[in-house]
Amino acid sequence: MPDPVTVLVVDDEPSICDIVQKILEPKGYRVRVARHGLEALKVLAAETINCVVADLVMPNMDGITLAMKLHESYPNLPTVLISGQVDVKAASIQALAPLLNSETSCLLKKPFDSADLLDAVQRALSRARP
Amino acid sequence: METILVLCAGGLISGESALLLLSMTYPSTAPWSTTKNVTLALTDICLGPLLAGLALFGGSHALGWLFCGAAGVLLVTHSIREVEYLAGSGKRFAMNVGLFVFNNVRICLLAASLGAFFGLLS
Repeated sequence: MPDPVTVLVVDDEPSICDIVQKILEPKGYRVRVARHGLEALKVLAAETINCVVADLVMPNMDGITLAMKLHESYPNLPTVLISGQVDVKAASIQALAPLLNSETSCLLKKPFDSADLLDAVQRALSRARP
Repeated sequence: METILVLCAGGLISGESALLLLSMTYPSTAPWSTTKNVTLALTDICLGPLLAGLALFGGSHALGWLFCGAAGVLLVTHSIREVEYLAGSGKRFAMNVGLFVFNNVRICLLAASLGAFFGLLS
């Protein structure tokens, strides 16, 4: 039996982590949670993660910085960035453009439903594993 | 005059926050729906009517200081929203200009209510 796909959810808002976990786990994904970018990097260094779902606005290390670090250190790691309407400023969009143009990253706008999230994760994973 | 001022402040504070809580927390993945924002809204919903009630029925000295404390807490929580908006925080309570302007109106009403309590407007 193959190992389940492990998704790292990075968000400082516990309710969003719970929702993502409740959507992904019944579909067979294994979910790990980190509260901010720095914690996410520690988890990534310690465990095998197949996909990252990260919020853009977080304390300590925000999602944009995390995404850039992931792009440098784990270029093939599928990443889904979650954003609220006011999260993404013009400067941030410019900073994110090279990441979002890459094969493995995509942006998921809040509010999202379970189908949106599952679709984004599956798309990111399929791009990374053609 | 003082009672009307406080009734306006209390009504506006609790009414707007109740509307926000009803309209902005669905679905649960909505960008406004964070623990901090919901807590701030619930603070308004609890303390707004308390202010109004104290203005109408609270005559004693002790209740006056309770009024002062509630208004002070609300001033602090509204100032937090002000700073969040001006700092461009991503998960801010006042998500748009309208809510920011409304926040300023509420701060003015609260400050005027406190001023009236201390007799500065008389």
